[in-house]
Amino acid sequence: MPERDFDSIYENYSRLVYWAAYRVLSDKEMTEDVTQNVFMSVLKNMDSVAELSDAQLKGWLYRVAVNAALDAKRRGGKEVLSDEPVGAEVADTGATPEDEVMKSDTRSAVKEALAALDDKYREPITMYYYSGMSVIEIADALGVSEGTVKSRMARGRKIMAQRLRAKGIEHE
Amino acid sequence: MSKKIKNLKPDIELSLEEDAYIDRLLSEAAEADDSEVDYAAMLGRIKAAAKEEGIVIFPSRKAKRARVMKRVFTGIAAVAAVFILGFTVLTATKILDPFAGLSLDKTANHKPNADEISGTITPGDYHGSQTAFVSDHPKNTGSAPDFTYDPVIVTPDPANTADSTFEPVETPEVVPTPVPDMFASRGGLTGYVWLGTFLGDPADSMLLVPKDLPEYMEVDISDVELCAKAEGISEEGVFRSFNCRVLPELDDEMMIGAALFRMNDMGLLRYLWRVTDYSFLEVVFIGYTPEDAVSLLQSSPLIDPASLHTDTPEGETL
Repeated sequence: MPERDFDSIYENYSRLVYWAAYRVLSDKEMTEDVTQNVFMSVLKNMDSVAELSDAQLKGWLYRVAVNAALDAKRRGGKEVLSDEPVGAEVADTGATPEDEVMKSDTRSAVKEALAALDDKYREPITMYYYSGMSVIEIADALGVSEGTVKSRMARGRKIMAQRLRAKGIEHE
Repeated sequence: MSKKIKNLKPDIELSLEEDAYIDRLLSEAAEADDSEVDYAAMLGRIKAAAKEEGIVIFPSRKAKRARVMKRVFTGIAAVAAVFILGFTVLTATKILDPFAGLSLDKTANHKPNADEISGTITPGDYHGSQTAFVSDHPKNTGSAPDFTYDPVIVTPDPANTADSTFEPVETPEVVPTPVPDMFASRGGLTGYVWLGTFLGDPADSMLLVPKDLPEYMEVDISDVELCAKAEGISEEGVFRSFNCRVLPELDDEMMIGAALFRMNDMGLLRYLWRVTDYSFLEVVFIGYTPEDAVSLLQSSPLIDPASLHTDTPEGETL
């Protein structure tokens, strides 16, 4: 049984919950509300949560986050897809302003390409890159085989590559 | 969003380099987006909401351990300071003579008939009764401080013993505080318990009544009671008492525990904090066995602060 308290659960899984909800909502504010609600559920069910294995907990949190986000979306009536970047500000990384603008443009294009993907491709890619889930965990959460997850991710990346290439962003 | 783009079919195969490039772009985008999420602020809001709903968030075990260790070290330091101060005062005022009954002859303490010679009580004769009080905690069993207590025996005052069965009064001593045994809780209701353990004449002004709450208790001082649990032997026999006062009332009543003892009683006096709603606080028992600690919490009902003006009758059995 892993040593588990609320702080450690939040530390390990807040990213998963947040991005699972964001994938559905594409709205920062609503996603934060959903994340808060999910972790309130965790608090109310700490006794049960403490009994779960890491994999079970991850799967449970993902399902709760997605369901809560879908519920919030129904109530909020927000569009699922949004081309608006999560953050408009450019972080101070020490790079030149030109570099930052290019990076920001690339980032926006990547997000746009991702948002444009069909759900079945976007979902595993978001879970993998944003929620930090492994292929096995994604397969468990989606109820498909690992091979299916891998092929969907590969296919999604190909579509994204095409989309980015059309915008002049490609590997040199 | 262009439907045409959305429905594009991957009609080309990506080279390994191209695939790695997309992989890197996705990783960077995810990392950059994630860095803009203020998880700490969200956690703060979650905890605030939980507090509003009365949900207890138990601190991490690591934090608990750190806090307990801090409390233990602070407690040991405080107890040691009180002991040294008290001992110094009592010695200076000649209430105590730590060398009474001792001879310069190094073998004097071991003479079986020393009392016949000096008329005083041989220290060794009191080991049994002393340890009966000192060692009620298992961890104290092996640490009956012979080196500390043996010499500290006071000959009864003849003025008091003329027509009474006066027992020798042990000098105020501090029982070494054992390491906390456990954390305990009663369902969702938990309370932080501080204990100081004293042995000796509780009428002495050396009683320790801490009034500063630990920072993390986050409770209003009016919600905190200071309880005193006394166990000892009076002329009538063994007694056990438990008494609580809400903290603000203690400004001029630092002697809450003393009220549980009467002249010439001997025993243990233990203090503990208790929070009236038992919320948001952890339980740390120092000086109790786990069984005693649980029993104490479970057997002591919550006290209505309004009723705290009435003391528990002296001698009440827990």
